[in-house]
Amino acid sequence: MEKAIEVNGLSYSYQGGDKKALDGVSFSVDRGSYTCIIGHNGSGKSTLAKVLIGLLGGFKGEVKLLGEPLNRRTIVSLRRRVGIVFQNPDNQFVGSTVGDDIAFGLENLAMPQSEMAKTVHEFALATGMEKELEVEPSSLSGGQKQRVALAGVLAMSPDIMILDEATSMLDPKGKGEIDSLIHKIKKSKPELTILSITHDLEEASHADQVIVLNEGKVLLSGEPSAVFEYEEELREAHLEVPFLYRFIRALKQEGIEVPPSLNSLESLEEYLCR
Amino acid sequence: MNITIGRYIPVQSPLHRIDPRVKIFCLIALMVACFLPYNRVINVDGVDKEVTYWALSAAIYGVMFLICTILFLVGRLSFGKLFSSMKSLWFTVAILLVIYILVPNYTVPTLGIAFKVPAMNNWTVYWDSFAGAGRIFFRLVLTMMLTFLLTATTKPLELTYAFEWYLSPLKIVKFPSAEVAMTISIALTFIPTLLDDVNRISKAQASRGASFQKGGFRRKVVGLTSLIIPLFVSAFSRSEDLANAMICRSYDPKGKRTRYRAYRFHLIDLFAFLFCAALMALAITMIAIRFDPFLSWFGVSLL
Repeated sequence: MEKAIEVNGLSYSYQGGDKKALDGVSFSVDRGSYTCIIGHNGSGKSTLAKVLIGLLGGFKGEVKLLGEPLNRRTIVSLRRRVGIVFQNPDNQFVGSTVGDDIAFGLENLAMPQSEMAKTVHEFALATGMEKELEVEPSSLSGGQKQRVALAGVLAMSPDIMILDEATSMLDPKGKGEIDSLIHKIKKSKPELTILSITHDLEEASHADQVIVLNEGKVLLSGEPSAVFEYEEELREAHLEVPFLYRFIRALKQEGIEVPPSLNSLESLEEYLCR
Repeated sequence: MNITIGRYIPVQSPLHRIDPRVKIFCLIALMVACFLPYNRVINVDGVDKEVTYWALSAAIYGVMFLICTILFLVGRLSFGKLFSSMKSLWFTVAILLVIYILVPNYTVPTLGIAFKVPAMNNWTVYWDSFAGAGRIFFRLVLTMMLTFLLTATTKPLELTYAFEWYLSPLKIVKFPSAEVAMTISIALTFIPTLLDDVNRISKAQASRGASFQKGGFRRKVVGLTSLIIPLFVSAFSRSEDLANAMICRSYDPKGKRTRYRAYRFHLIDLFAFLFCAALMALAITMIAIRFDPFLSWFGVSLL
């Protein structure tokens, strides 16, 4: 299968820092897949996001995005195909209103004015912000701002979308809205590769692939059900396996086998009651 | 924090619909008409002296005040906000009056003696001092009304666009007008965020015992640093995040950009432009030809 992201032996240390933020990280992400990178604070996951979007130069190793090596020469063209939603909803709102913010990326790509209004409306509709086009950011909730950020990224029709802890500063309601919106987007755009950086293992359990980072190194990677088998290793990396997977593991220890395709409590309940 | 003046008031009105570029021109044109010196020449002991033409000035300020009042009504703006921001004006005008009485700024008094102060060696106070202070008062009031009209009926975003448009000829000398406009627009967008920061930080510091009101001047300044330094740190970290977000969305200040919002001139813009341009032209012409309406109407100069 075609790879969206290929990372080989990636190392990075911040200026003045004696420790490597990333230390020989290697992984690959299939095109059209939903991959979660999980890790505790300081595991290097945000550094990885910044390297992938080309904000941090001077790394060691090889990074290939959509088959092209990431370097000074390719960075500008690659950025047009890779979008990112950051953690803080306030600090990525560039426009003065919702409409202006969604249009910001399109203005940068020099999209003709006549097309822009249509595109902005289309993605405001897709993220449920079509009624707020003229609203200023100060009267939006954090969840709404993140929806606008998603709309702004999606409007540029990227091949890869990186979510750098996009829901970690939101309240549970806002987080739920963004999570379900991302699932909706994933369904309507199967060719879009989503790389979500998170410390929410619940979210990771819905991913196609999970990569666990710890102290700048890849600790584990694979399908969620396989990764969550390593409960002790994850705990050592300060990560708590979701209840569902702990439950499945406990069932296994009691000799009850459960197919690995089950990824929700409801489906497990259905399976067990059958 | 309470900022009443300079806020956009979102209502529907013809004034709100006028193009921001035209509105800025109108503001400047009307201000010019307010601030021009309306003088006339009188003969004192065989010498021609230029003095302020008080009657013409009063007539002009009256007309301007009437125009502003009508515009306030058309723009559906409340006078209450204007009056509340005029409170500090009275004090300024009172001080000005005292200065004008003590240090007269007219060449020749033309309005006659108001009173004499026996305690000050029969110091003569002319009505001209009062007229001078009154003129400053009306100029300030008109300036406030006009700027209030502009900012209350124009979104910050539109104002930024208008500034960019007026600065765009400077591109020839490599002046980064688009970048400046972008900076202004982001700064305006972030004012509420930073005000929230101020509230949050002052509460956090107050809970640790910092005080911004109590104590002498020294303590207040020291208290303020505990507010300003965290605010700066937060603002810098926000600006770094925002710069990253802009780079990631392919922002290139030197690259070609298109514009989401369309601004086109309409008939109402032409009307507003012609009206204000005509007023300014009229005022300048009156000065250039030393127009004397009162002389020509009544055959004698009234004042």
